[in-house]
Amino acid sequence: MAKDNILEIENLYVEYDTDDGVVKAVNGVSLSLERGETLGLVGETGAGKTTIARSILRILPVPPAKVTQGTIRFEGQDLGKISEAEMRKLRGHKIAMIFQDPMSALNPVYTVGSQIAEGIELHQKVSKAEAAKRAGEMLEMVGIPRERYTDYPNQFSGGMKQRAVIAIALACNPDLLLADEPTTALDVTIQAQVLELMEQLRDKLGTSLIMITHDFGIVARICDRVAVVYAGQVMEYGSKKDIFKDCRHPYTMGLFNSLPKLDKNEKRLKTIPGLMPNPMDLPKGCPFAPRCQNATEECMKGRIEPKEVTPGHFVSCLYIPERGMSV
Amino acid sequence: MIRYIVKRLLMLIPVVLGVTFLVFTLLHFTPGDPAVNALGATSTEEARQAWREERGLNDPFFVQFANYCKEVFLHGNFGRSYSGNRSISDEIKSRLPISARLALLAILIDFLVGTPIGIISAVKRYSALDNILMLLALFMVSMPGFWIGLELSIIFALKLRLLPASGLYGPQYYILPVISIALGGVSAAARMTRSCMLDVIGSDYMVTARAKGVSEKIIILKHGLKNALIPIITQIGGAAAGMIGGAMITEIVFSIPGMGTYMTNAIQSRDYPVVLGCVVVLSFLACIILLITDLAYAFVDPRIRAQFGGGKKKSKKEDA
Repeated sequence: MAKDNILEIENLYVEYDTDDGVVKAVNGVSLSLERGETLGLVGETGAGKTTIARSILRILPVPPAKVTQGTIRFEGQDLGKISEAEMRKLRGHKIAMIFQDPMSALNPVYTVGSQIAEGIELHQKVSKAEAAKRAGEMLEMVGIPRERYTDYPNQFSGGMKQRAVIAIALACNPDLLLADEPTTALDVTIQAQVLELMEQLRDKLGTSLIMITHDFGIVARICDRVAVVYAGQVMEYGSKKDIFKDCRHPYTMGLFNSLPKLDKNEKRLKTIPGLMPNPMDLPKGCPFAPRCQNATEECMKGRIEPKEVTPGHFVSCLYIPERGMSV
Repeated sequence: MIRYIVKRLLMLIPVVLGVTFLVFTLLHFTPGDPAVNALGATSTEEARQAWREERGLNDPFFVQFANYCKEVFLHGNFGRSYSGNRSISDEIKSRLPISARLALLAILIDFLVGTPIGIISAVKRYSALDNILMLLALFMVSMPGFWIGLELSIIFALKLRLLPASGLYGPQYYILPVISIALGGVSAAARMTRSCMLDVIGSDYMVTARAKGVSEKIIILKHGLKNALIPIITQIGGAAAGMIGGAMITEIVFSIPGMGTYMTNAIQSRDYPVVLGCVVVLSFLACIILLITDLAYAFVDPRIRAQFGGGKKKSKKEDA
């Protein structure tokens, strides 16, 4: 891990302590992100993607969530060790997050403009008027006319709300942006617009980006590196080319196989048989083993460490095929 | 907004008329002869008849009602009481400010004490402090105000001799009655605030605010409280409407010359015009308080403001 890594996550474990038992949401995730790079976190619902992002910002709901192990370093600084006040200075300033559901991510009783200005005022130590001016500029940057500054969220459409959420996240020009399924709640045309907007802004501002999604289309379009997450563990991790042209993990292959092929007349989607394991009762070994065709008893015995198959391409599997699958 | 207020004020007319009609009818058909009550059991039949004639009690029911409404709503004259033959309007004029002052102070305390307790409880939920506060609140909300009043006067007036227990001759005379009226409301407000804040604390926009780097205190007080206020306003508004007349028994416990004592005495002595006059005034005030409550919603929540229409530049933006 040389180079200029803006973010390094090492062996992260997160648990939720609920009434029914301990939910193991993240189990030994290690990732790194180079400055200016875009990392895609792909996986099913409940795989722990959002939990990873929230633990970077330290905005997990405490209780019940708890980081039990691991370190997260941002620009070399251990985020687990700094005080809450120091963390607050990073939040929204150096690290910002775009949330999944634009409908509820904005506060209904304040104007959209003031919600964008709030972060600017806080971090850039400028006057109220100056912050309002910059918030207006942010609105225009995401394609909303400045006159809508004094509107309330209920006067915005879904796509505009998501743009406003993006404007809030980008207001202080963060070094690292965590985008948690920013397009999931939107319809397809708006999705395309929002993605385009994010791409433009990323290229213009040079922001490093973690894109959480379950859409391979978005990954193919926007990401440099991809981590495939399953039951809180990274199954396969590599460059976009590694994943799309040379994927080696049976889970990744299963995901790709379940994509419908446009050139064939398919009535049913090919799915991976079985369900994701209950996070309260994870298998001891590879979490994917119960659904994996290649699984042997060896897979159930203990944690499987990632192996580097080609430089920068890590696969957590005991039976890595010689040649990968290409999509 | 102005249109809405005017509409609501116009709606007051049928409401107050309806209340007047209902109470008038009920009192009219209540058994017992007011003339006997007013003149005493030893009075002659002729005297009673003359008294009835003088007060228009021999007229048909609807004529009586129409005359009453005319006097009250056009001239602001509530008539004279049966016992003592005093002007009811003058009496209400001198008593209403006292009751209103009591209610206002109690509401202020509800809001200024109850809401912070609720917020603290919600922020420290499931802690020992939360449990103690909520247990206390449950205890207080379950106790009737007049009983708290009795207990308070035993402790602070009789035993400790710190505060006066009856009458109204200075500011210190307000302390015990206001506390006994307010305690129930404080507890109700605290419980309501707690549950609303807990709802709000879990919402996504609180996380958004946190992710912006806003401090926890501001998140709770700025982003949280304003969203939680609507149900709190409903509760306190409703309590206020009730308090204007509802502190009756407490007023008697502390012998305060307010609307409550006036009305209770009138009911006991079958002084119907007094009862009627008090009910009309109180129902009018209750309507006004509820109107203020509704306007407070609009002040807090832009979505409700939008519904009130009346509005600046709203309609064309919504289809954008």
